[in-house]
Amino acid sequence: MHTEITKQILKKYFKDECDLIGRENFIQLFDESSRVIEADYGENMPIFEVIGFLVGIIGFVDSAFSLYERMTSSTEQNIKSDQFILLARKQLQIPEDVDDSVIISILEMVAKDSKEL
Amino acid sequence: MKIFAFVIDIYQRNPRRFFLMLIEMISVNPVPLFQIFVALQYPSLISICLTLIAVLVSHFAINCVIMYNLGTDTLKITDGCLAKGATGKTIPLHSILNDRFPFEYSIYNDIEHWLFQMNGLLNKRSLDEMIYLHYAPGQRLCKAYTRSHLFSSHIFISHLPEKDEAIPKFLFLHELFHVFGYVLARPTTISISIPSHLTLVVWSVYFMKWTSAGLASLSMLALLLFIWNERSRWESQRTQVISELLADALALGYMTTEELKLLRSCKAIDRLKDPNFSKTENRFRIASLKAHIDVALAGKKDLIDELKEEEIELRTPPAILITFILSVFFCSTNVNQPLVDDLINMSIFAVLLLLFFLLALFRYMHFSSKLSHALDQSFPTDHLD
Repeated sequence: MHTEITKQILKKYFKDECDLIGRENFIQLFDESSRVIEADYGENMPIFEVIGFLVGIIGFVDSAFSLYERMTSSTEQNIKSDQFILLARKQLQIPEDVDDSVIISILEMVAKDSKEL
Repeated sequence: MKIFAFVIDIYQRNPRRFFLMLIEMISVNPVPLFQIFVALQYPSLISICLTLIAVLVSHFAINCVIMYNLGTDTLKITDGCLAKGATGKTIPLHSILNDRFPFEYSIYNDIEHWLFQMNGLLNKRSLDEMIYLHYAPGQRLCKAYTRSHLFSSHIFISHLPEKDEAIPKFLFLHELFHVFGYVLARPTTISISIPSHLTLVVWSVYFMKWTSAGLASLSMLALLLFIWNERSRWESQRTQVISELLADALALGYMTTEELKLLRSCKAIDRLKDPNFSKTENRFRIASLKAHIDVALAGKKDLIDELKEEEIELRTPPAILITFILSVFFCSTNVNQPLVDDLINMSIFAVLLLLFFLLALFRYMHFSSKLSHALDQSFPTDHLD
């Protein structure tokens, strides 16, 4: 549902990470038909860690959208971005190794996109 | 005759390295040396026969463990990956290296040439046989199952870098060289030395004269065996970072200037952290990668030519090796004269080890055929579209 905005977020704030994993892996992150094989033993390649990082960001964006929807369903008033960001930072699991300013920008984009929907 | 050609080849490359290798080989497998010392003290036909049996016993003990480990490694690929439902196609390495990574010369041929330079006549297999690349689109697979270069390694990936993707190309080449680096920098002596050193303990305890001098020399030998193996294990862990740096440096040698610039400007390389490394080790590795890129950008791309095998391979310090051989000698001076009964007992010991080796060999062959069958089913060989 929020695939396009999530893609935009990744390309805007994590462009280098997206370049690092390559186009095919990037597409597969959003491909619902793809199935994740959790292989055992062997050694994970370094790219695996970066894919895991981006999966974490996608999860964070999804949870942010869900939180916004919950907030709008519980009140008839318009939700201010500041309120949403404050609550999101309290309730959501913030991805590690991401600047605070980037987290705020992502949440602002989520709030803006949710209002437009 | 090939074995002689191989030995002469190593000697001609570097006589000093040849002698160090020889001493290390004796330290890795000291049972025959121990028995030769015994035979020199008690020269007889029994001693000579026991020396031959000592060679066989240590040989079977080492190969039992190697075969058992190979079987287990093979089973791990089948059970750990293929049994989970991974599917796709196997792509010959030359296909992707030549078609997807255009360079001033063939990367595939150059790596093969480099490996030949490193390993000499030991390297008789093509790159396509050494590393199997399995492409599994849409399954988020990025696994490498690495084994000795005498056996095939398997890489499972869900993404094949395109011609214009500089960073995925670097990571792909890094992984290839990581496999070679692992093979070169990994002290194979650890896996070999443990069974042969245990055999030495059994052998020396069996023939030992239970006097205070005998006990003292046996204790000294046991202590040195412990230090020898602990040091090798510690060295193995320490060199994992070096193995990463080596893979980075070698991969950079096949990047064009434009690709190097893209790689240098990519901030995400800071995220290439290995969870097995400490924070400091990861920082050190990333800093070295950036420094290597700068060196390559400055036009010094001959990093590969500068690498010497002595710098990569692990060698036990000569002082430890010599002390160890001396302790084997002192231990052998406190043994009883070998008798016919000893010859019979040690022959039975050798036959038992031979049986264990054959069991381990059949186990490996069974798992190997299971793996081939599973790969034929799930990853048939294909070429790039």
